[in-house]
Amino acid sequence: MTAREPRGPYVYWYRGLALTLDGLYEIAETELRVAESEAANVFGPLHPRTSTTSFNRLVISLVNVPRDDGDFKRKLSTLRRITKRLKASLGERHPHVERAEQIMGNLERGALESMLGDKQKIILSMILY
Amino acid sequence: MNELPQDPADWSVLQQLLVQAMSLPPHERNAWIESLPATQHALREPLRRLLEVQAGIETRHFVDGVLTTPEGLTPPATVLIGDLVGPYRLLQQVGDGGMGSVWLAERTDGTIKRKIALKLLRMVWARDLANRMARERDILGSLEHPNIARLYDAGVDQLGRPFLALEYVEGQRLDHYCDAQRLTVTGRIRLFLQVLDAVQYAHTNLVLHRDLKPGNVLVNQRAEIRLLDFGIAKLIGDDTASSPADALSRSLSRAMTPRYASPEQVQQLRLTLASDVYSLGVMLYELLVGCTPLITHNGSRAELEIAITEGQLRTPSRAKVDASTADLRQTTPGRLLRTLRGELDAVLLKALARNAADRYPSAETLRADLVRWLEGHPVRAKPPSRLLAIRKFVARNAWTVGIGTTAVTAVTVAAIIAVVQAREARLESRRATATRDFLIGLFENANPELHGGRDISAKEPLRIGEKALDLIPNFDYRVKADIYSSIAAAWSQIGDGSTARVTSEKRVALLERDGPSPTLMVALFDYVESCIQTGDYDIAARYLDRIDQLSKRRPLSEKQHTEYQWYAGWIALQRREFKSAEQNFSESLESAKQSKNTHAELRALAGRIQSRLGLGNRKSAYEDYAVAISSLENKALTERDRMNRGFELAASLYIFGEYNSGWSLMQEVFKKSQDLNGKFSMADIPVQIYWAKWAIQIDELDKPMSWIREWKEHQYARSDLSSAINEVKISLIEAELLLALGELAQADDVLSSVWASENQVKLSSDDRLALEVLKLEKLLLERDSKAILSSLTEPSGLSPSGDGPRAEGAICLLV
Repeated sequence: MTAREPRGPYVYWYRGLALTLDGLYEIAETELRVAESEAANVFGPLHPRTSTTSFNRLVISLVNVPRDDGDFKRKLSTLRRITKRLKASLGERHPHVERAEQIMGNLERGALESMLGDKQKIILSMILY
Repeated sequence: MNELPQDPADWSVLQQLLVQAMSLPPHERNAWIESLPATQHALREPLRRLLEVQAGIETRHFVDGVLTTPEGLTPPATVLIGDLVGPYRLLQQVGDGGMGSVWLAERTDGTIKRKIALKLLRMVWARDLANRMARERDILGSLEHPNIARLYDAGVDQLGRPFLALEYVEGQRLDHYCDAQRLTVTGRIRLFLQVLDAVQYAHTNLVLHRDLKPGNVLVNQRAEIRLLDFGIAKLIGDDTASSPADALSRSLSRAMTPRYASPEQVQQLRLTLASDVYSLGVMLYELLVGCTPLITHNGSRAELEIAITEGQLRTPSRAKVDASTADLRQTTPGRLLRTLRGELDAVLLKALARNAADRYPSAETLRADLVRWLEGHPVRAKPPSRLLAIRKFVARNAWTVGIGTTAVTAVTVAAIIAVVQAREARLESRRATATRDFLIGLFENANPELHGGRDISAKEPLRIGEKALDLIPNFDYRVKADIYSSIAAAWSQIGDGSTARVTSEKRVALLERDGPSPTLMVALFDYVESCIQTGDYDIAARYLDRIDQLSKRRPLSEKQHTEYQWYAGWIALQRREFKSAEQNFSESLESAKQSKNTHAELRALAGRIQSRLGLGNRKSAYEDYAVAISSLENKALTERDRMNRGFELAASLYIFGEYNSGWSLMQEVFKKSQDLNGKFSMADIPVQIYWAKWAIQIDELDKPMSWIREWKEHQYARSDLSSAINEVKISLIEAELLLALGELAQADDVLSSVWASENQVKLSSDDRLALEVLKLEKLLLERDSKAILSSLTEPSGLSPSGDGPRAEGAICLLV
């Protein structure tokens, strides 16, 4: 029997991204949090769709409401783990992996601080889809 | 004899009773005596005594004697009507052969008034001919069967002439009788069963006849056959070099009738029961077909012998049959050949196999196959593979394939009507089987695999055929269940899993009548599979429970246990109950290992890999994957097995997004499928679709693009349903690819064409899901948030509840 691909948490994902485009980051983050949970349940926690959803939610959260250093480092560490997972799933040369690594590099270099002027631009340049 | 009656009147009655008793087969005599009326009870014991004495006279005493011509006697060169031979007067010559003659004769001493067949040797007294007669006497003396002419007496008369007194059969030789009575093929076979009974009886008494031919089989007016002439018969095992019978046996082996002689007989090799089977095969062939199976030109003995040992046989259904031959069988040439085609071809050609080891090993096994044919069961001579049978069917009914749905439908209805008519004509068994074969062949004609990818009849004949089958009352429910099974398989093959499931359910309902039979268990497992195929996991789970209940009355075999656990695991997997799934697959795996079933091991491993990935346990999943990859090299697997199991493994990784690790395996599977089935085989469409989607996921976009172009070109000429369904799937992949390449306008065109095709092809929920996702993805790439949010407020196939059918190749674009 050929395996079948499960349905995904598409509604929450696309709604989250559409709200991100509209600059409604807090609601977008909530939608993506549901999408993340659904994706983990439906696709499994290791699936690149789950990883990508987590990555985007964290990026939005990081840029939208920057908290203290401890919170930032924790999120950065999680993003690093997610990037590693993406690399395992998609291979090192996959465009999404390269982009995620580039974003991680920027975050680790502190480039985020210098881009705070245009939140919308920053977020849209950092999400994966 | 002091018990004999004193009253002369009783003697008269006793004599009449004795004559009547003698006319009965010996094994029926006692019962007949017991049934005599009370007024004759006093005669029962004397009658038994007389019969005992008579039996001694007729067989034992005479048989114990030696057939030799007394020294000093010179027998007369000829015999004439009225001559006395021993106690017999010759009445009329009824047969004359190279080695002797057969006479109708009667006893002259008044002890028994009965006509007998008296067999005399020619007056050229060859010693081995006398020995031959002695041999026949010995053999016949040991045989007592209603279909073998009885030996009454044997001896040497006062002039030194050896004779055999045999049962006189007033009748015709077998082939003449069949023609005179204009027996049908079935009638001829039924009559021939008696011949097989007689030969089988001789075989069980270690006697080979060695000269079986229509002339040695007579049929009386009551349609009873008598097998004659054991003149060149031999005892099995009588062929050792030290046996005194050996030389005679060898000399007699040349005395056979060449037309009916087996290859080993012609070559004077060791004979077995299969040698008689060959002769029976020739006889049956001639009876049914009306000509000899041997292809010869002048019919000389030398040519015949070459034809027997080296020549090709004429397949019965390809013989040239003229109208008169067919008429003698109450049919037409075309119908006769159609009757012979297939199963009777197989039976006759098996009986006539040049190599004795390839023939039926005995008359009994030939008989059993003919009985199966008469009763409408598949014959053993034919390969059991249904697919092969169907292919043969398709080959011989090629006209139905080419004339389109309407004609095929008409044929289907005609077949159903034939079933009803057959029942009314009380020929249900035979006709039902013929029709079943017909229907199975017709329905599975819809399988594109059988037609190099051409979908010739699609749904219509299936739908009509199934409906008609539903309506036929009192049809053998097992046959009906069998047909439903085939119809369900055909529905499944043309991609209509939902209808396949409904049809499978009818099969289960019919077989429930038998209780927990093996057939029901198979049907239940098939039904569970069909539910899983359609995503009806709750129903599948219910029927799995039913199997569980039945297994308490009929424990599951190891194989069934393996399957049961696998299905339970699969259902848990689809419900995202990964822990339960892992447990079920582990049990299935252990069970498969117990029975050394590599297929089942690989399937269980594929399921457990998914369960473990679902649980986030990548390490243990890849341990399983390594084991599975190694098992794929098992030599017990064919290349096709390797491809199918490899595909399952690869798909297991794909489902959980392990694109990078599984890509090399998927490429191998894709290549293997092309090597095995050609580039665009319909059978391997799922493999091709997975491969193309996979290539997109790992950003190897050039490969699927060229594949799509070639595929479209290849499919351009097709306009059937399955092609249209696949066209939708391929178009969805194309749209995804165009979106990945940033060609949004082109992607939009392709998506619009898929929406438009919905008028002709009902989109599956899987395809609809993929279409919705692609539309949203395009809007996302266009950054049209309003359109996205607007789309998501409308009812769509994107419900996150997860209750809907699972996606077969749904295309996800989140990465």
